[in-house]
Amino acid sequence: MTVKSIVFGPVGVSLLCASIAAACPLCHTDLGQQVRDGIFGADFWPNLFFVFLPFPIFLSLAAALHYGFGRRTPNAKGAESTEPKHADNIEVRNHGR
Amino acid sequence: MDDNRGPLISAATLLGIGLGGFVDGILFHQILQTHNMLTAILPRVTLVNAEINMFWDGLFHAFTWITTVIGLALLWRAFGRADVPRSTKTFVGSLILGWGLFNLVEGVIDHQVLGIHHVYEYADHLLWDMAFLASGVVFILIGWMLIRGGSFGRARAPGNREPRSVRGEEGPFIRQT
Repeated sequence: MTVKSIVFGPVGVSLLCASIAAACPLCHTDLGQQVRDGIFGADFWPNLFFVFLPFPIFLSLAAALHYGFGRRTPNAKGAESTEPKHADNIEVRNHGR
Repeated sequence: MDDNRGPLISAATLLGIGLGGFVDGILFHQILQTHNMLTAILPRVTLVNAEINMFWDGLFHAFTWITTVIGLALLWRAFGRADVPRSTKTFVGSLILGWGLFNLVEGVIDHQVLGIHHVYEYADHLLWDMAFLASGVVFILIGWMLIRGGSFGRARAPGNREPRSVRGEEGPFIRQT
């Protein structure tokens, strides 16, 4: 048995049997037609709404975080410093200067 | 100048939501195959039902991809702003917050309210659904704590140079004690 037959043999068999699994939405088979009917039937728009529904909520939450949190204005409370009270990746140095 | 972490938090949160969605889709839908998008309505017991679920999984991934791209675009814009601090804690915390928000919102809507699928369809799904929601709450708390500990420091030092903290060197600020 040659290497080619080992490699291409299973591929050839798969191609011969491909009609069995040809159930994609674009496949021109009975199974493909059933898939299309199942997707684009009466439930298409409700299902699309169900799948899409969380995403406007995600965007709304992100917008709330964008405009509503994380801002610190200097002098908002008296003469508050703009320098960080706790800054990551910043080492303390010149302590006591 | 204001210290404004909002653009960084929102961008990284959207990225976290997107990446959390991909974890759900890749891990649960494809690798473990514990559920698909509509498996509570169309159980994956026939090839046709599996193909229909695959279609809706694909749309879910498409929306997740769009969310990720929006987060990436917002992150790019945030990096171009002088008033947005580049804090690793804030960034990582927002990523985790986003992942938690995904688990919580998607879990409440899809699993509890709409009931179009459950985390594990083939057994008592309530326990799995509750664990998924709990993971969302835990991620949100961890993310929020990291964000609170993140820096408000300036993104641009005077003279339009990056602060040393951004370049990985010692920062110009003195910690208040």
